[in-house]
Parts: sequence; C-alpha cells; structure tokens
Amino acid sequence: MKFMISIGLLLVGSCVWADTEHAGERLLRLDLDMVWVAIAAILVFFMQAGFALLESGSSRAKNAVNVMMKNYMDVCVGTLVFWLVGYGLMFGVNTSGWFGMSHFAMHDGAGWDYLFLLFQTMFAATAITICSGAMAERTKYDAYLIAACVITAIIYPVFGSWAWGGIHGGSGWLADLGFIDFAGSTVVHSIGAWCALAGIIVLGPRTGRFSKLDGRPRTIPGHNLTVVALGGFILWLGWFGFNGGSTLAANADIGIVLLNTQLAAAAGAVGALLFSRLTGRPVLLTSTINGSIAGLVGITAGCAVMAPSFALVTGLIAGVISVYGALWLERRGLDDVVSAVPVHGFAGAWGTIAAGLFMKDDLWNGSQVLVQSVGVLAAFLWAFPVALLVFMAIDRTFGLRASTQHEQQGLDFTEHDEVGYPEFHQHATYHRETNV
Amino acid sequence: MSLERKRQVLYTVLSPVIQGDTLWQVMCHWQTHYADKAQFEWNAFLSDCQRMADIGQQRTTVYRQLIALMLDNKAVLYDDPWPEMQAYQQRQSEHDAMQSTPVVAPPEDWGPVLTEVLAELFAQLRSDTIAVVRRYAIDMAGRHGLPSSLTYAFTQWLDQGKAMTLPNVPLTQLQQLFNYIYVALCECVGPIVADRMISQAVNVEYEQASTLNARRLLG
Repeated sequence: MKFMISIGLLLVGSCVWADTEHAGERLLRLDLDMVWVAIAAILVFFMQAGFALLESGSSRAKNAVNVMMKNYMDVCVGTLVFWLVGYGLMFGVNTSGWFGMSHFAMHDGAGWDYLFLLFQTMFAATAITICSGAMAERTKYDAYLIAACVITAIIYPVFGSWAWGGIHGGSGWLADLGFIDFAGSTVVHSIGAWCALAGIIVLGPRTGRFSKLDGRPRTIPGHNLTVVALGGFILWLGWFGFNGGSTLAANADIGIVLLNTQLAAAAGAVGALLFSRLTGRPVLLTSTINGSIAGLVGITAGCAVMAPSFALVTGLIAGVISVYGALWLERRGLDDVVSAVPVHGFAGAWGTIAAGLFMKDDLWNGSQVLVQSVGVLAAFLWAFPVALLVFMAIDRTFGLRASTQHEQQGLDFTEHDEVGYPEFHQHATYHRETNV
Repeated sequence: MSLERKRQVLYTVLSPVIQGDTLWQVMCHWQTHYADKAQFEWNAFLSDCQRMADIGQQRTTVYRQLIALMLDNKAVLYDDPWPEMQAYQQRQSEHDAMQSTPVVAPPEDWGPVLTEVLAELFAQLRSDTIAVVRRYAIDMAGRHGLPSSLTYAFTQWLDQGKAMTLPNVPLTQLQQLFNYIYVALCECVGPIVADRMISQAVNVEYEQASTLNARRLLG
C-alpha cells in the first residue's frame, strides 16, 4: 500500500514539475525572442548611421552636414510620426484590408507590443531615409522634413498594412492574396525608392549635373569614399538585424535567413563588378557597395523562403540591376545622388519577384510570381503618384528646391550655418562675418 | 560691323522718333541685350519696344531704316552717343540706389573687386564658354530685375575691358549676378570645376588684401 502511495505521489509530483518546467520554458522562449528582436531593432537603428555615412560621403563636402542632418532627423520625425499615426494605420485592426484603424499613439500594451512597435519604427525610418540620399544637395531642409512626415504617416504605413497589416486583427488584401515580402524588399525599400523617384523628378537635377548642350551626364563625385565604404559595411551589419529580426523569434530559422543575407550581399557586389567589367566600365567603389546593398535589398523579401544557392542568384542579379539601373536613370536625365532608386526600387522589385520564383520546395510557381508582381505593381502605383503629388504640393507652397545661390554656397552653410570641414574646406564657397 | 557703328545706326534712326530719357532707355536696352546679337534680332528688339507708342506706330519704317543704314557703309550717321548713354546710366544707378538702399552711409563700390575676381575667373575660360556665360548671366539678370547699370557695366567690361564702377549697386545684387555666372559655369564645365574656379578666383583677390573682402561676393 505504501508502495502504491509513493508511486502515486511521485507521478503527481513529476506532472507538476513537468508543467512548471514547460511554463518556464515558454517564458524563457519569450524572453529570448524579446532579446533577439530588441538586438535586431538596435541593429536596424544602426543602419541609420550606415545610410548617413554612405549618403554624406557620396555628396560634396559643402553639403555633408545637411545630408547628415536629414538622416538624423529622419529617425527623429519618423519615430514620432510613426508612433502617432503610422503604426496604427499599418498594424492596427484592419477589417477593410486597406488600412488599420487602432493603436494610434500606443500607450498601453504588453511588453511585446512595445518592442514590436520599436522594431517597426526602425523599418519606417529606413523607408524614409532612402529619399534623403536620392534628393541630396539641392533640397530645402524644412521642405524635406515635411515630405518625410507625410511618407511616414501615410504612404509607407498604408502600403505596409496591405502586405503586413492585421497584427492586432484583420489582414491586408495583399497578404490575403499570399504576397510574400518577409522583411520588406517592397514594403520598406521599394516604397522608399518610389517616393525618392517622385522627389528627384519634381526637384530636377543638381546644377550642372547634365550638360545643357548634349544632355550628357557629368559625374559629381562624393567628397569621401572611405566614409561611403564604412557606411556600406555598417548597412551590411545592420541588415542582419533587419532580416534576422523579422523572424520575430529566436529560433532555428535565423540560420538560413542570416546565411542568405550574407550570400546575397556578397553576390550583389560580385554582380556589380562583373557587369562593370563585361560592359567595359570602370569598377567603382560606389557601384560595388551599391551592388552589395542591392543584393541585401533583393534578398530581404525571400531570405526565409529560399535555398542559399537561389539567394546567391537573387543577389547577383540585384547587383547587376543596381549598376544598369543607375545608367538607365542617368540616360533619362534623372539625378539620383546615391542611386537609391535602382538599389532600393529596382532591386527591391526584383527581389520580391525572386521570392516567388525561388521558393523552397515550390520553385517557379507561376501563380505565386503573379501575386508577387501584383504586390510590386501595387507598391509603385500607390507610392509614386501619391509622393509625386506631395512633392509637387510642397514645391508649390513652401518650395522644395534650394536656390542656386544656396547650391553655390552649399547647404551646410545656408541651411545650418555650420560646415562639416571648417579646417579642411578646399573651396571657398561661402562667406561668414567674423568679429576677429 | 563694329559695335560703335551699330550703335550710331540705331541712334540715327531713333533720334527723330523718341527723345530724352526714353531714347536713352531704349538705347541702353539694346546695348545690354542686343548689341552682340545678329542683325535679324533687330525685329525682336523692336518688339521689346512695341509698348512705346512712337515706336509702335512706326515700327515698319524704323525697321526698314535700320536695315538700310546697316547695309549702307557710306551713310552719314550721328556721332556715337556712348557718353550720353553713360551719363544716363549714371543717373539711373543713382535713382535705383535711392529706391533700393535707404541707407545713410555712403555705399561701397564693389565694382573693382568684382572686376578683379571676374578677370581672374574668365582668364581660365575658353572664348566659347565666356560667350555662353555672358549670355546666360545677362539673360538672368534681365529676367530677375537686376539694375541695367550693372548688366551694362558687365558687358562693357567683357567687350572693352573697362573696370566696373558700381558705387550704387548693392552687394546683394552683385552676389546675384555672381551666382548667375556660377550657374552658367556649372552648365558649361560642371559643378566641381566651377566650384574650383570660383574659389580660386575669389581667393586670389582675397589675398590681395584689398579694403573689401572678395569672399563676400559669394553671399
């Protein structure tokens, strides 16, 4: 009898212990997920430094501070506006399929809700910062910030709700179709790029960028290619958080996501190099770095659903697209200072379609490719015309383009009254009164 | 045909039609915008003057007379009205200055500084580039209402190398003209080279340590 009681107690005890252990494991799991997404959010935030360095180094010395300022304020206004409006539109309860309608200015939620908002805020900041590089060196600072607010408040989150919406209820129409964009080739990068395209069309090229006689483009080299390269490395590093964090869980899936990210970035640079060599063009540092960033943009949509070999192909083609796309834009008289449109727009569109083409265990699925194409097209048809209207309205009211006098003096001096390199400024482009 | 003779032709034809300041205004307009243009631009010039009733009514006659005198190398023409035009320019400058700069202190003459900087700058340019820069700068100056005395002094400097004397032209307007030159340079030689050239020209004059700081022309 004693023996039976002992066995009984042991069984009950082990069950209680097993339950406790299971609950503890779940808690540990949640904690690990949160830590991983928090680290990923920090990495994505660090990408802003990468963008700032890359864009600033690609501009002339007299505009270096202005470009930095725009990147800095992108994060600041982006954070505030996305918390206030963007998050609710993008992830709030989405019953219509077109936009969310809750969680505006979120101030009560669970720990996970806050972290998710933080992570997505970094994505929103990434989308808007793409514009600043394309429109560098001739845009009025205040006018740019107004545009950045509109993009973060409306253009980015509305499309985001179509593809990713419904975290708090309902779902977006593109998601319902089966659209795959794991970390945002289209949702983040292409949307930013289509806005940038609208911006550079309204702005026009920098003075002297194209010859008035025959329309031939003139190179306006950036002032510090070392900084550009450092920006490229930082972006690459941050992308591990961008793609890896989009798993939203610290699990085994991270392995393939991170490996694909690395392979695509490397292949993107090689793709840019090969294209340059095969077409008899010089292999530029800027186009090589852009090639790897294009590879990263390209793999962002399908990094979780592709085998590594296809990630490599995706990145390689994205690298080629980034170089060819830049030439294509140039031939049309469009001045994109950092080639943001080919790198984020064209490569993003390719990557999104590639996610359908190269899906693991379901290669060349025509219907999936069709859905992906619908998503790519919808992104363009939404973001480009709306951004065009926004930039045109700003141009009409506040004026979007800096005056030629400000272009001559440099926007560092005219917009911020400080210069990036006071001791090393090679050219006298402005005059400041001093009391000495 | 020399610039002086063209001016004499115009003066000979217009004198019986309009007089006084109106005549000098028209002459200066021609000097600034048409003096270096081809003969067939006379018609465009007369279109500009259409609003003046006297010219408007006799436009065809005036045009025929202009062409006839231009083709007749032996025609007797009035003397070159250049001194009278300069006197008119001077009066206009003073008038412009009184309207645009209500300051008590006597204005500084930035003309010599601008002359030196432009001399340094233009010495680096080819003649065809100078022609493009000149055309663009004068065109923009006209469109944006810079005083005719300024554009006139600029063309005089370009044509005859006469130092610019601009005691009553505010610095902001010189900066504007300088910017038009910069933009034209960007279009011709590219922004990087334009920045370098402008910077070099300004620095050379700046290091001469003249009383006025040449860098202020940059804005």
